[in-house]
Amino acid sequence: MRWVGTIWFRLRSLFQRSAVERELDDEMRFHLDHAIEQNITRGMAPEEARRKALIELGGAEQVKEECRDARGWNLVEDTWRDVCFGARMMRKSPGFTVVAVLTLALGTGANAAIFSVVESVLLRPLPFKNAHRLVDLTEYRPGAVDRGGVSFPDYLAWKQQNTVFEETAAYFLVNASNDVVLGGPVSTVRARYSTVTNSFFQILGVQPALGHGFSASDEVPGGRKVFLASNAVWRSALGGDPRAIGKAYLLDGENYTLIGVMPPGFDFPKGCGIWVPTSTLGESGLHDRISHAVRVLGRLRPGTSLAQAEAQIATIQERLATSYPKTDADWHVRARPLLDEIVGNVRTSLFVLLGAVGFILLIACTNVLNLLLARALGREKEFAIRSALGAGRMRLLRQQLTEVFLIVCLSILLALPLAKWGLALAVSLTSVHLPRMESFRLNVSVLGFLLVIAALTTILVGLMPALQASRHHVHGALGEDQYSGWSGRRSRRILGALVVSEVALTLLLLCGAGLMLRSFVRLIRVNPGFQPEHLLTMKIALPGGTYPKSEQTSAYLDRLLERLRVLPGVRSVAAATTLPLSGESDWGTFLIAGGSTPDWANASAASWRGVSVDYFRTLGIPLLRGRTFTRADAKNQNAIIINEAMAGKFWPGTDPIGQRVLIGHRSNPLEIIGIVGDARGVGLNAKPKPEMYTALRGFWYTFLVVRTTREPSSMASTVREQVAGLDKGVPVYQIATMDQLLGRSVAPDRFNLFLLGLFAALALVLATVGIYGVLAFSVGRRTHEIGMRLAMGAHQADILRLVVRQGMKLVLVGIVLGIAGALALTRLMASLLYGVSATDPATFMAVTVLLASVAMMACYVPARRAMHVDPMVALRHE
Amino acid sequence: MSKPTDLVQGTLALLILKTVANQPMHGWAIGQRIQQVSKNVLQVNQGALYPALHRLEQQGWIRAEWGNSENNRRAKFYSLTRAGKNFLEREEENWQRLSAAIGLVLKTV
Repeated sequence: MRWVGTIWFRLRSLFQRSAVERELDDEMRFHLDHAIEQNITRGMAPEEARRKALIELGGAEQVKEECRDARGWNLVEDTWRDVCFGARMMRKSPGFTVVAVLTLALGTGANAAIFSVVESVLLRPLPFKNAHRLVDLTEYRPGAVDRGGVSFPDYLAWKQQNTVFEETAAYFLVNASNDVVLGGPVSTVRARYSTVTNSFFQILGVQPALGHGFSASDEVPGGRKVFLASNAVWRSALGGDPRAIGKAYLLDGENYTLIGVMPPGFDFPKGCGIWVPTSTLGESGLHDRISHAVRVLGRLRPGTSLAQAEAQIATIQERLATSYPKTDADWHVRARPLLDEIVGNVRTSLFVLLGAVGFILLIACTNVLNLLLARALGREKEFAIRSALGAGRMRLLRQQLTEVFLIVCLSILLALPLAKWGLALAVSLTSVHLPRMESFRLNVSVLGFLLVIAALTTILVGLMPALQASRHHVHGALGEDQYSGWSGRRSRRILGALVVSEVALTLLLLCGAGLMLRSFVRLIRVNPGFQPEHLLTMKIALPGGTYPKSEQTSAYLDRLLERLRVLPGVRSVAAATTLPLSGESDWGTFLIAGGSTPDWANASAASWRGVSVDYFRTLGIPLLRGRTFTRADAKNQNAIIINEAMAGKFWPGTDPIGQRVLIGHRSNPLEIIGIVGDARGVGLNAKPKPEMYTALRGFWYTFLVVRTTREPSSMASTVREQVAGLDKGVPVYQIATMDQLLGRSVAPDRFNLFLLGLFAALALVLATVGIYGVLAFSVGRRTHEIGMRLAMGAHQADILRLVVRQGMKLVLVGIVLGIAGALALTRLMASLLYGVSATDPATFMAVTVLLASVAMMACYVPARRAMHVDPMVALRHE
Repeated sequence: MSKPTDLVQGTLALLILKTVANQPMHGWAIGQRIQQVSKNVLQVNQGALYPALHRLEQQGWIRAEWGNSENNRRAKFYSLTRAGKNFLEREEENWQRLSAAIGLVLKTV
């Protein structure tokens, strides 16, 4: 029952405040009256008696404040009063408020934006069951051109022999030519497809939303022809009709029965729209040890580490290599978290950006701290009065921190739209697309992050001025002039430290941005090896049902290329299995012919591309030696063209023309008829790889590339019409100009450059304002001294030098620290740079000069003001 | 359920509770009474007395009522609650045990 009384007691304190206050007053007065009376009876004069009584009590206001604390109402009420007071203070000095809120909003906004990207890309778990235990397993050959992959028999051996995984699954690589055309009642679409084991869906913990998944019989070769569709494919091709389940549709010309539709949003791996069971591989596919086209997923047993799993699979693989030396030797095993496999190498760039915004926030905090320190000096008297009226030290501290917290909260409110729009702007300007990236959303993680930022900022910014303000003794500040409370030396040291740290942080950011800029300029100046202007690219998919044989696809392609070539505005046109920078690539194995029996186990690999006759002319890839393909080559299939890199690597010092190679598992050798220049296939930053070209025969999925005389994107609809004019059932997709592909390939670099550049510029502005602020403040306080110097005969130039030297000394210290920090930190971003060392001296020099000159200007303005101080006015000033 | 307090504060609370145990008293009288009974050995710091009273009131050991003082002025009278009475008994026992123990140690060693 006691707590009822306690609550009533507290509520009364809160809501009947005036009554409680009156009672407190009465009680004190009653006590004092008694004490005075007693003192008088002891023979004191009334005045003396009163003074003595007050001293004995220890100050009526202080005792009252302690009583209020004892009653426990103070926390709620004080906080509310502090908030009101803080709001009043902010209204009273709008200039200060606006500058502080804006500065912090920029810092917090940048942090919120980058954090939201990091959260959605790296931190948020994959939408699969036990996602943190999912592991991607692959085989690779050291030094090979291909990405590697697992052969199906190897997967089966791993599955049976391992003890580290609860479950394993295999799915076929989604790569070039992993498209399929689905003829539905609503439309014919092409989709990515993947052949998957039944355990694939179990391991991910995803069930079809409609219908059912694969059954055990679907893993036996020769089973039913069934497929699962993604929600998107089901909607676009089959009209989203639930009755579609159980019906057969043409999948690349063969009848497959739809047995289920996956839940919306599920498109693993990489935008997959159709899944078929492993029974479709046939008997031979399941025993193929040569082709490594499978990727393997494993779910670790609880408590098993990634390294343990990798070690065990590697042991199993070593046994396989002994048993099957011809096919399995040379293949090594790599295990990594599935998330890493999906997001690729964005981790470094995101962490660099996160570091950059962290620095921005620190600089912003430094600026606001600077403002607050200056303001705390002006408010010394106010705090002295407060403590004289009974405010304890903690109380003053709390009130100050509340004021700062209000400012921080306002800035966070402003930071949210800044983050949202800033990120959207950065994404649209750089056309970046990071895997799993979403637009800015205020979710629980981002909110939590912002709260932590708010708390840290408040402490970082608020604590020092608050301590400064609350530590004064009453009489010092009340009695004398306002600047005496805080010794000049101490204040100068604190402000100096602020300038130094600001300059150092800014230099760090400038170095990062400068390196990115230099690297980016190098990157876009890289010769792609072909002429990207005026090229329109697209992909077409021929339904296998209409074109079952490669002769038919060849004939179709010939007719289509002929139709396109004669279009007005078209200079030349070509087809190819893949295009440079299209994001798709194929590779093949080859042997230099000559030995008696081909030894495929020791074959080399190079990227491979089937191209039509006009390919090199259309792309503008120079022919270095020999000749290009003719129509006869396409028919005979006995010629091959290689690039310079391949010639240099496999025929160093000799002439490869006329040499013969065996490729893939074709029996007839191909003669090298020409050497062409290297074209950057994967990206501008990837070194040219050995590449071989064969004459394109029939292929169901081909890229078209059109060299136009006018703006290529304006030709897109014309080309589309021509394709439809020949056969309406052929989907055209991935339409893009080569310039767009080029832009896309450097988009991550542009994104990094844009943001780092923006942050560095922001830092520079903030640091300039900061340096200016500190010096202007210092000049203001030294007006008297400067006036004195002038009166004593100092020249104006001396004063100028005095002030500039004071500022630049700090700037120089900051620069030295900044360079030391940059040397240590830019190494972390080395993997983001192309053709520039992470400690590039020229870049460091350039940004140092830039920072020093801007800082010089920031020093010059207050120095000029100091120079023009009127000695008479200054001396009268105090 | 009281918060851990140091000896001085705890002692002051005990003295206050004991003083108001028999009859309601106002702050001034409590201070005077402690001084008088202890034959001027214990001087109550007046600055600490009132916060202590308010804390005890907040904890529910004592309750306050306004009444008329001996010279007919309105004063705040503090009296012991039932919970305070139990608390006081417990604390008195503790104190007796503690001081006896200390006395024992001081005598023997």
